Amino acid sequence: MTPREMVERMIAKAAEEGAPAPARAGYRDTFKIGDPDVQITGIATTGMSTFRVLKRAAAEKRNFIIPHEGTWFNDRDDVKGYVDQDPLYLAKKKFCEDHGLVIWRNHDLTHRMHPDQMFVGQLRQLGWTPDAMPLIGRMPTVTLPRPMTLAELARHVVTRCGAHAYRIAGPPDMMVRKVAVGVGYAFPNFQMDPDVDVIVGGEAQEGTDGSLPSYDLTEFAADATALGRPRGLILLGHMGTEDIGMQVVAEWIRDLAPGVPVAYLPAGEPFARPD
Amino acid sequence: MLTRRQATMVTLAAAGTAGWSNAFAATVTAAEVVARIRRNFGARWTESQVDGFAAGDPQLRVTGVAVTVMPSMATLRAAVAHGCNLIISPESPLYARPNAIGAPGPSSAAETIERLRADPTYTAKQAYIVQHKLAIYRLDENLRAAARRPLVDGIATIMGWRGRRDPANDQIFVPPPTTLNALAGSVKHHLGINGGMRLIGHGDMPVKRVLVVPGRIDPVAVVKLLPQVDVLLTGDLREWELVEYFHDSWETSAPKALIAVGRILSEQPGVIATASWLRPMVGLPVRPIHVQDPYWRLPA
Repeated sequence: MTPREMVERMIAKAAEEGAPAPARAGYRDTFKIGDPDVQITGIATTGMSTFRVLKRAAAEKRNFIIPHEGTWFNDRDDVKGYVDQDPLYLAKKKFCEDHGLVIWRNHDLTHRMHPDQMFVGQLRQLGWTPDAMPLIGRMPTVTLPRPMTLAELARHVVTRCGAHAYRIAGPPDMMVRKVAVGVGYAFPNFQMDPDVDVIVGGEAQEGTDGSLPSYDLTEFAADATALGRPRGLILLGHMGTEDIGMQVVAEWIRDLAPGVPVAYLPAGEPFARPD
Repeated sequence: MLTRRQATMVTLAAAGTAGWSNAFAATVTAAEVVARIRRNFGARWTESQVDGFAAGDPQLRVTGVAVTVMPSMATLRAAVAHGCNLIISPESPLYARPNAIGAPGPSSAAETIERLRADPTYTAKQAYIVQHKLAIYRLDENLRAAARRPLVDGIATIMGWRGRRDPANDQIFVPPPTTLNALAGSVKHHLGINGGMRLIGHGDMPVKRVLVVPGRIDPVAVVKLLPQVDVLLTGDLREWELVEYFHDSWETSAPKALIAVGRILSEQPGVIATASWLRPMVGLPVRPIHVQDPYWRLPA
């Protein structure tokens, strides 16, 4: 089987499972490098096609890499005038060419699935059952089995997802009953449900440059707290929330490629362990 | 308890004495203060979709001017406590660019906006602004475009790097040779970082040259400067852009380190420093008001 055939099967399976076709062809879910018509020797899914993941895939003789995020340091994977002369880009590209790697980004498709595969992964990782199934939109809420403080909640989520470079905002002793879950940069906000005490997500808009509905959640939470309605935020990083969704994808595609080894290779968080 | 904790979220600059604003007859309007700043910027001032009054009445009689990196509730309360009713800040008090509405997404933009504007936090903050007769002027794009690079200067000053600029690039500094860990510790101390710092790199990496980009970075411009430096010290950057680049660089023979402290904390030294050069422009005392790092981490 070739990467092109594999992608066709994935899109067909998604359609069978009710994922709506995109209104128009997107720039994200495309081949980023390599020949889509070679024979697949093995598949690696990952949150991000980092250089380290590519090296591991090559060492394991997996020539087809399916990342959720971009390969060339921007959402469009557009290198022109950006990194096209950059030594790191050239080295990463040459590595792919030398090892015959093929990369197809699987981003929009995962989010079009019902339920969104990224949320399936993150909710499973956090050990939580969403309040509503099927997931409505991209903003599941979770009513905690028992109320806990923000500090206790933070301990739970960072332990479950293994993130070290997390950030927490809000009063540590505030009581949390209801949580909204975000993945990547696609955040829920505090307006989707006035009972949400804390948002647990990946990375967020910083500062007030955003165009609504994107806004500075950290500032909002601080002001809400100052005005007597405590709100908090736990930021786990992009890979702290979306890497795991590509394990869901690995399981989902396994039966599409009989005889082809499929593995989830976590990209892991890019940041150093603090302290 | 919450109130007490929130009260500590803001520290007031020690400069000046309480009640100084009473010495000034409140005869200057907020609009006139802004006009004086514009006159001083001269040809460097550009009309901006961002800069302008974000709240309050421009005809307000100014009793005192406060400068802050974020017009949060805590900052507004501190300004009021010091008799300041005009707050100048690069950020908006209402969490996003006013009137800027992005593409409707799964979160339903219109519904979110409607709900945000009806939210008790949003309405209570607006009520506070009205009740205390405050005006908030957003000085953002003009501040960033100022020829003297105030935000970079702010970090240079607080880090003690004023005389250590690369003559070829005013955003590159050459501090005494150090390691990444030691530099990160120093940044943490001088910028008042609590839990908001994130690092890429090995702690014992030798550091000679540092690129300083406060606020949010432009990846296209920054990536071209990286071959000249060991470390980027910045505020806010996206994890699918240069964070991936820095992470990948450790798989090559030319590793680069990253210190990201968050947008607000990275801009605070420069914004606070503007108080001293805004003062002669506006002809009134200008009080700097600090914010603290909103982020914290669990005890080990």
